[in-house]
Amino acid sequence: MLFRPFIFRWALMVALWIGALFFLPPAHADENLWGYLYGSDTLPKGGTELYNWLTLRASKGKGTYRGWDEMLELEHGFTDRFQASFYLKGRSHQISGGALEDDPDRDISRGLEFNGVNFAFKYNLLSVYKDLFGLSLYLEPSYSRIDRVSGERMNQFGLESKIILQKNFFDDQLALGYNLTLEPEWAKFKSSGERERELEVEHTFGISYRFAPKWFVGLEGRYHAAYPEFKGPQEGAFFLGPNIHYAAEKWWFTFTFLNQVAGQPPTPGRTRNLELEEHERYEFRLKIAWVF
Amino acid sequence: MRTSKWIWLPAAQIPIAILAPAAYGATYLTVEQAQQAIFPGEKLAAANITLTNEQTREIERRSDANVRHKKIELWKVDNGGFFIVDEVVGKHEFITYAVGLNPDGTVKQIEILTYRESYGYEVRNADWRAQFVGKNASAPLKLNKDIKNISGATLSCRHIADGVKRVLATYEVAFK
Repeated sequence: MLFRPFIFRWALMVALWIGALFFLPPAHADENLWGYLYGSDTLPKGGTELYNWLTLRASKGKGTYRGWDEMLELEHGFTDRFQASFYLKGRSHQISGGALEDDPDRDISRGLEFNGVNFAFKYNLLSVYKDLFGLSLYLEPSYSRIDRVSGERMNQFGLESKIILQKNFFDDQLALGYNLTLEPEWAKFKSSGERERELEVEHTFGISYRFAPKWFVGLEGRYHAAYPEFKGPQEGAFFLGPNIHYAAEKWWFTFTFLNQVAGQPPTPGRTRNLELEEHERYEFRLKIAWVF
Repeated sequence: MRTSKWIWLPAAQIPIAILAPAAYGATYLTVEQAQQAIFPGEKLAAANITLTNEQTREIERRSDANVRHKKIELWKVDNGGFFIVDEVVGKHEFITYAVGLNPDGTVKQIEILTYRESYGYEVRNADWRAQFVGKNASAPLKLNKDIKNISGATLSCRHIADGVKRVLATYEVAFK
């Protein structure tokens, strides 16, 4: 079993280095101004990009909690309006000191392990550059094998859908965006055999401003809520934080820091007014992309 | 507690990425080369002007485009025409271009001097630039009306069209 994560790590590294070292003609149409919010652009026909996403979810307000989500994404534009992506996912957890409210004895420290695959499809209906606003539709079927919060083994299938809106101002130097995301999920946990299904709903919004050539600074927020058994919300949390984006000719990066500012219901005995059972206090996301 | 050892991977990509960019964006023409491309054999004399606030407002009203610089890089041509160097916002950098005007204020030719974007370099194609020839200040210069868009390069197309519209309005307001 030990060699599996080792191989995955090296495959990931080789893929990333190959991506970085290829000196191929670039294209920037789908560069991400934000870490969590999606823009309405799609890749032009024939464009290909390789992304590395790294997300750290940290702190439950007690003990030690770190959840690392790693994704390697290959994205291709099949027409000027339609693109598709394939994701390889990895996940890692360090949990101890009673960090989990519903499982205080959980104590694990795992390195990166294979967490499944996603496919994503995005279709652009209105161009942000020539129509009144940009509008795209997005669909992402997914398979995951490690629970996001606890790190438990499971088999989970999800179907994420998004409506993506974007409006630009001041010669496209200022961008506003909004996403509505719905994702039904079906999971079966391996140890207990327990089945779980829920609907995740997210409102994401952001602003980004080009303050110098190649550099953008912004703010983004997300409200995420889970509806167990597709019924009333069990947990919800609102995150807000800054981001920075840099775009060179052949690559770009985006870094976002999100801080949970409010949650419902507040987790007892933890930081006031925050939901820290299903969500974390801080999230950091770094995306780096190379353009082929 | 064991610290995850793989986390250096994404960090290692940053120096690679910084080293990776080659000189892809380019200066295609110098100002002198653009002058000769648009007005071959003609003599040009620098005649820079600085717009007043009133002129700026009027140009923005007529063109519906922002005036980014009040100082206009202008040359007068012996045959009565004009040569203007201007810049517009690209997705990441400024796009520098030149407009040659006939003595009657219609566009003779446009040339792209520098284009440092990673995509949309098709705006340099002669066929696309030829759409501007003969346009005057009353032309719409709107994408999908009298100017064709290039898919995947919409931002560059729109900003250059807006820029030429602004140059034509500047001619009418400030140096006709």
